[in-house]
Amino acid sequence: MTTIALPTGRSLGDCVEILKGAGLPTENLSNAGRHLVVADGPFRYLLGKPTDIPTLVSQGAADLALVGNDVTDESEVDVTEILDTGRGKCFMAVAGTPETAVRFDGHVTNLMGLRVATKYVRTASRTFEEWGAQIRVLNLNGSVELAPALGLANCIFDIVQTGGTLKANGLVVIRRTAEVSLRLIANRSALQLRWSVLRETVDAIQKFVADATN
Amino acid sequence: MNLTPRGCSSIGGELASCMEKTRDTALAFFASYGYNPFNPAEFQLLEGTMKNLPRKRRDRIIALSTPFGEPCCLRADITISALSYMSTHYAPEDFPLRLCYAERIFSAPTPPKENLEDTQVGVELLGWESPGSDVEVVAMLMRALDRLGLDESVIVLGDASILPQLLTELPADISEKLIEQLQDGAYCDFMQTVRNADAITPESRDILLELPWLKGGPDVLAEAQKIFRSSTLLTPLSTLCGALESLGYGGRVRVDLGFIRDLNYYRGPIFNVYSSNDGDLLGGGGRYDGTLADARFTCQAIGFGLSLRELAIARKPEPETPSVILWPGDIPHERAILFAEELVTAGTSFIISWEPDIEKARKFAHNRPGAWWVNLRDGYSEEIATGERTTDLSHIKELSR
Repeated sequence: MTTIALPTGRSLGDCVEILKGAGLPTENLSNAGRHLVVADGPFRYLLGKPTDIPTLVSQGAADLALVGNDVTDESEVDVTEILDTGRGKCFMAVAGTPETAVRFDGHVTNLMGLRVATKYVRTASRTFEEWGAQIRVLNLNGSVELAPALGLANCIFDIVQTGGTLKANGLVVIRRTAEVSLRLIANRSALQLRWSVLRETVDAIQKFVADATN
Repeated sequence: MNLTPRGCSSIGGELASCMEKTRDTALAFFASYGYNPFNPAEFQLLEGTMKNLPRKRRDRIIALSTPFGEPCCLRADITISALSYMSTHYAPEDFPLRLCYAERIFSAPTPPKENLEDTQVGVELLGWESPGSDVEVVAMLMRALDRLGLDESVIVLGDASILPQLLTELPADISEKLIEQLQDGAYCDFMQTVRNADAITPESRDILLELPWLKGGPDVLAEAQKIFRSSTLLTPLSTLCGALESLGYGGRVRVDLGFIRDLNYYRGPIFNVYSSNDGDLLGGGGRYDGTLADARFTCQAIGFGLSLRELAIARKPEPETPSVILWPGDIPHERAILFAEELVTAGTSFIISWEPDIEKARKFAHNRPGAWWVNLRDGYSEEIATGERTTDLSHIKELSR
C-alpha cells in the first residue's frame, strides 16, 4: 500500500483534483469528514496540518505527499522534491512600507539589524544570511502584516498570492525571493527502495500535470 | 534529577545488551576477514577535519578547544582518523590496511533528528588499487548483516563518479549547482537548471533529465547503458552488482543512479543499507579516493559505517532473564559468592538477591519468569513457572545461558 500525505486547508481541493486527474481513487478522500486517515483502494491518505506534512514524509509515515515548497523549505527536513504540479502558485517575498523599501535599494549594510516579522523563521534567516545581512526575526504565526503598522518590525517575510492583504495594510513587495507552488515530495528511503512501486503513481501525476499545463 | 543534554541519550536494558552483542559479533566477523581493531582518538584536530569533510558535514561538527589550546572537534568522522593513522604509521609497501571499529561519532543533527552522537560499527580498507576491494567490502557487509540475522536487509548502490563525468563540459558554477541540487533531493530545481543551462548539449540534457529516475533493481543498469554514451561509466557498478548477484544477493540489491553523496569525499561506488525493503536506514559507505589524494596517497579506499543502535533495533532485542536467582538468606556472603562462581564456570547466568526477607525475595524472583529460584539458606531450588521444588542443586549448574 502506498501512503500519501495531504495538507488540510485550502490546498486540499487542488490535491484531490490532481490525484483524481491522475486516476487515483479519491472517493473516500472526497468524503473524509473528520477522518485523518483514509483508505482508498491500494492507497492510504494521511490528512495533516501543512507544516506537519514534510515531517510525516521524512519520518516514513508517508511515501509521498503534496505540499507547498514554502513549507518544505522551512521544515529543512530530508525529503526529495520530485515534481512541481504548478498548482497553488504564489511567491515568497520581503514586503514592507515604501520607506523601508528604500533601505533595500542601497548597500547590504542598510539591512543589518532589520526586524523581520515572519512565520518562516528559518527561511527568512537563511535568505538574509545569503544576502550578507544579519537580522532580528520576530516569529508570528498569523497576521504578520500587522507587525510593521504596530512598529514591531521593519518588514515582513511571507508568501504573497494576490498582494491584496499587503495593499490593504499599506505594504508593498520589496523583493521577491522564491516561487512557491504545490510540489510532490517523497520519502528518500521509499524512493530508493520502492521506486518500482511508486513510479506508476508518480508517472500518472506527472502526466496529468503536464497535460493540464499544455 | 540528572538529565542527559538535549541530543544525547543513555541506552540500557535489552537494547544496550543487543547493541553489545551486535558489536561483538560484527567485530569478530570483520576480524575473520583480516580487519584489525582500530581505536581512534575521541578528538580530532579542527584543521584536518575542516579540510577533508564536505561542506554540509563541516557545518555540523562540534568544535571545542583542548586544555592545551588546540582547536579540535569531537570525532566527526572515523575515516579521517583512519587515514591520518595510516599516513603516520605505515609506508606504502605495507598497504593495504584493513581496520574495523565500533566507535562514537558526534555531529549536530539535521531536523527532525536530534541525536548529537551515534555509535557506528564499520570497516575501512585503505590503499588497494582494485575493484576487488569494493567487492570484498560490500560482500563482507552483506555477509555480516546475514550473520546478525538481518537477512532481509537491502543494499542500494550508486556511483558518485557518474554525475561529475556527465558534467565535464559544463562551467564549474553550473555543475556545482546541479550536484548540490541532486544531493539535496531538489529534483524540480535540478530539472529546471538542466533545462535552462545553454552550455548543456541536447544529448547530455536528455541523460541528465533521466538520471534521477534511474532507480530500481540491477536491471536499471541495462536501461542506463542504453542512454549513456560512455561504455565504461557504469563498469564499477556493474562489476559490484554482478558480484552481489553471484553471491546470492540479487534480490536484495537496488540501484539508484540519482544517489549522490558528499562528492568531494566519495569518488566511486557508494551505498546505503536498509534493514528491509520498507525498513530503516542502517548506514552506508563507499569509495573515497578524493580524501586519500588530499593525504598525498594516490590509491583508492573503501569503507562503511553502520549505526549500532539501528542494527540492534532491527534485530528486535528481547528482554533477557537470568537462568537463576540466588537467595543466600542469612548464610555467609562468601558462600553465596562461591556458589555463584560455580555457575560462572558452568556458564549459567544468574543474579544474587540480597533481600533479607524470604517472601520479598520470592516475589522478586517471580517477576522474572523462566528462571529458577535457588534458596541457598534452606538448600532447595524452585522452578518459578511451575513451583516445582528439588533439594538437588546440581542441575542448576547444568543450566546453560
